Order: sequence, then structure tokens, then C-alpha cells
Amino acid sequence: MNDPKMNELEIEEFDAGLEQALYAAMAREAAPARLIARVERRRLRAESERAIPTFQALSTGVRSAWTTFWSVGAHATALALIALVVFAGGRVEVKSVPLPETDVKLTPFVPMTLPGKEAMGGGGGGGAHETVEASKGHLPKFSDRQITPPQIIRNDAPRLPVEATVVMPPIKLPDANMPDIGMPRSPQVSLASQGPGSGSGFGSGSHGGIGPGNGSGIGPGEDGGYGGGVMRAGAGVTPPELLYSVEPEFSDEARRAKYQGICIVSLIVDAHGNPTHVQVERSIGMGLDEKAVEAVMQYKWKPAYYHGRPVAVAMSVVVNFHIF
Amino acid sequence: MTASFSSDDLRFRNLMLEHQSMVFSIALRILGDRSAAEEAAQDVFLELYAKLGELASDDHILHWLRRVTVHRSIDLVRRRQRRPEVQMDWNELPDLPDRPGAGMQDEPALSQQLQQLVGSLPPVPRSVMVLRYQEDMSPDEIGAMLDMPVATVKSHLQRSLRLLREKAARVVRQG
Repeated sequence: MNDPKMNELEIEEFDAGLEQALYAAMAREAAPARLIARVERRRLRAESERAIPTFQALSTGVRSAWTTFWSVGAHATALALIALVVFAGGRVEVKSVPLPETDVKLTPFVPMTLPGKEAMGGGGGGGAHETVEASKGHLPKFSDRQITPPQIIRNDAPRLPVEATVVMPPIKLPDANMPDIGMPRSPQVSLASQGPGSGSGFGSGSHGGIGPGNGSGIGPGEDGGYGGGVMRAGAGVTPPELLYSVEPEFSDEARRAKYQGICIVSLIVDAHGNPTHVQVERSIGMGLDEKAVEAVMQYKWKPAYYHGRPVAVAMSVVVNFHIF
Repeated sequence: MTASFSSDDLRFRNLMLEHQSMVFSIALRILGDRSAAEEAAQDVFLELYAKLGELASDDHILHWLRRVTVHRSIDLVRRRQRRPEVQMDWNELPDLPDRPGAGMQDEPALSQQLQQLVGSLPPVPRSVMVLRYQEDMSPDEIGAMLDMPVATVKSHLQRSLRLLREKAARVVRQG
């Protein structure tokens, strides 16, 4: 590879010159002036970056025993806290508490009220299956219970005389000034009779009272035994519900005159839901009052209830005569 | 800033002032690129700062700086060879060694030619040449520094010189 034109001496000389030239060519060069400043800047930047906490120290082999100690301690504390919460503190025992059984009543709610004089009614009636209407007479004694119903005395010397009573509160009622017991308003004075009713007493009713009712009291109504009126809806009495009604007919006269209006009819809905004692309360005339009564007489109700028992109540019905 | 410098910082600064020329020149000769050489020199000095506590004597520091600079530079050259970059600094493009017209007797021109010839050597022989002729180190020292037998160092030197001689002779003859 040596140059064939150079001999050994020439090569040595050339190499010596070359080496000298190399020493001169390879002399150190001055570093750039900014080198030191740049190194300082990079060093300061690296130090500021190192000041930010990193997870680098956690890498294996780098972290110190002190770091390991704190790490293990912190983890053990956290696990102990979790165990404490799970096994000791966090358990909540739920005890079964027997709830008091509530008696649920499915009957319609009716406010319970004390019976009042105005609201309460009742009545009674009786009779002895006689064809003649009950004779006129004075009322028997009022009492809270009845042992002997009023009747025509047919035994003048009874062994154990018991005065006849009707179950009535101590109230004043219009009475007849008559020597014998009877119905005060009866027009029949000629014959002694207890009337066509049943169960002793006077009148057309039953159960030993006086009047058309069904009980041991006086007057229309039933089962109450005291008072002469009937109940009204409200104050613990549910109103009767209309189940069946008919349209009233027009009278020929009213139809011809194209007459229309309303007629108020008062009545008593008995314990079976049937209308009784239908009366015109506000007349309209032209024969329509009769038609209204005729229609209302065909009505059918679900009876009113008081304390869960069906009772008779007095009410009014507005009958509307209207030409469409 | 200077007021807050500790004694370590001052020592580091003095070491940089003392050795910056050497470190930069070694990197420049091996890398052949001023900006890359400056970058390498910065890295070496930052590494020196981290190791300052372990390096006690000045001799030790000098030896360490040379060794680390050479190794970092060779690493950079090899990395660049694997991933060649497009040279963007047109002012620092090396002149072609065979370019005719350059006067042989002109000293700066000869030095430049020789530098470029050395730069055309493979990285390891190039490093050996740099340590031999720039740092004036003996083959024994070079062998100890680069962890290679002295014979290998000498072989590298001889082969490099022969190569340079051939190229230089050709240049001279052409001139």
C-alpha cells in the first residue's frame, strides 16, 4: 500500500512532517463563549425540575430505606383504618321492630257525632190488626224503656199492673185531652181500636209504638224509639244514594201552556230506601205537583246509614220540569 | 446569582473554564460539527457536575473528562451513522479533501485538509488520533483510557498515518 515512489527514508521524513502538521492542525480550539453560560442554565433548570416531587425516587434500587419505612408505614396505617371501618365500626345491626297492627276498616268513613235533638229522629207505631183506625186518645207516659206497650185495657184488674209507656225522651208533644190512651190526632173517636198495625200499640205501624212507624216510639220513622221526627243526612248520617229515578211527566195543561219550572218535594227515605211521606214543599202548579210526587214515589235509594245501620232520613228532591 | 454560589459551584465553574477548550475540541474533532460538539460538551460538563463529589484530584478530573468526552462523542457519531441527519449548517460543510486549487504551502489550508482527513477516519481510529495529536497522549495512556490494548492503539495510529500519508501525497502530487 505504500507509495512505490517513496523509499523508507522519504517515508520517515514525510511521516515526521505529517506528524508535525498533525500536531499543528489538531491544536485545541477555543470553546464557544456561551458554553459555560449554557451549562449553568441547564444545570439550574435541572435542579429546579428536581425540586418538583416525582415518583422517580420510588423506582427500584433508588429509594432509600427511610422512604421505604414511611411508605410501608403509611400503607399499613391505611389498611388498618379500612379494616377498622369494615370489621368494627361500619357494621350496623338492623333490628326487626314489630309494627303495631292497624285495624283497617273498609266501611265508608262517617264522622262520629253525639246524637242531637235536631238531627235525630225515630218513631214508632203499632196496632192490633184491627180494621178500624186507631182511636183518638192521650199519649202514654214517656220512658226510656218500654215494658208494656200502649194498648186498650181489656183487663180491668190485672195481677201486676204496669203502666204502658213509649220509649221517648222527656219532651213535650201536642196531646189530646182524652180519658184513654190513643192517637192524639186520630179523627176516630167512636170505636175503641188500636188500629190496623201489629205488635200492640196504636196506629198503622208495628212494634208497640204509636203512629205509622216501626218501633216503640211515636210517629213515623223506625227503630229509634224516641222522638217524632226522622233523621237528616249529616251529623254522622250518610245521605241516601239515588239508585233509580224516572223523568216526571208533564201534565196536559202545562204542556199546552209550555209551562216549566221546578217543584221541590220533601219526603222520607226509609231504611229500605223507599220514599214515604212524599209532600210538595214548593208548589209549581198546573198539575205538575202531582206529577212530581208521582215520579218521586217511583224513586229508589240506597238507604242512609247511621253507625252502620240503615236509617230513615228526611230529605228534599228538586223536580225539574223543563221543555227541551 | 454569583453570590449564592457554593464552593462546589465555584469549583465547577473553574473546572469548566480550565477544561472547556479541551472538551470542546475533542468533541469537535470526533464529531466534525461545532453545534453537536457544543451540545456534547454541555452534556459532559453536566455529567461532571453530578460526579463532582466522586472526583477528588485534578488529574482524575482531567482523565475522566477526556474519557467521557471521547465515549460520548463516539456514541453520538455512531448514533448519527445509524440515523443520518441532513446537514443544515451550510457554512460548516467540510471542504472536500481532494478539492484542487488549495495551495499546499498555505498552513491553514493544510491544517484544514488534515483535520478533514482525520475526520474521514472511522470513529475509533479518529478518537485515537485526536487523543494522540491534540492531547499529546502516549499510546499507553490512550489504551488505558479507551480500554484497549496498547498494540491496538499503535495499530490504529499506524494505519491512520498511512492512510493520511497516501491521501496527503495524492493531494500534494495533485497540487
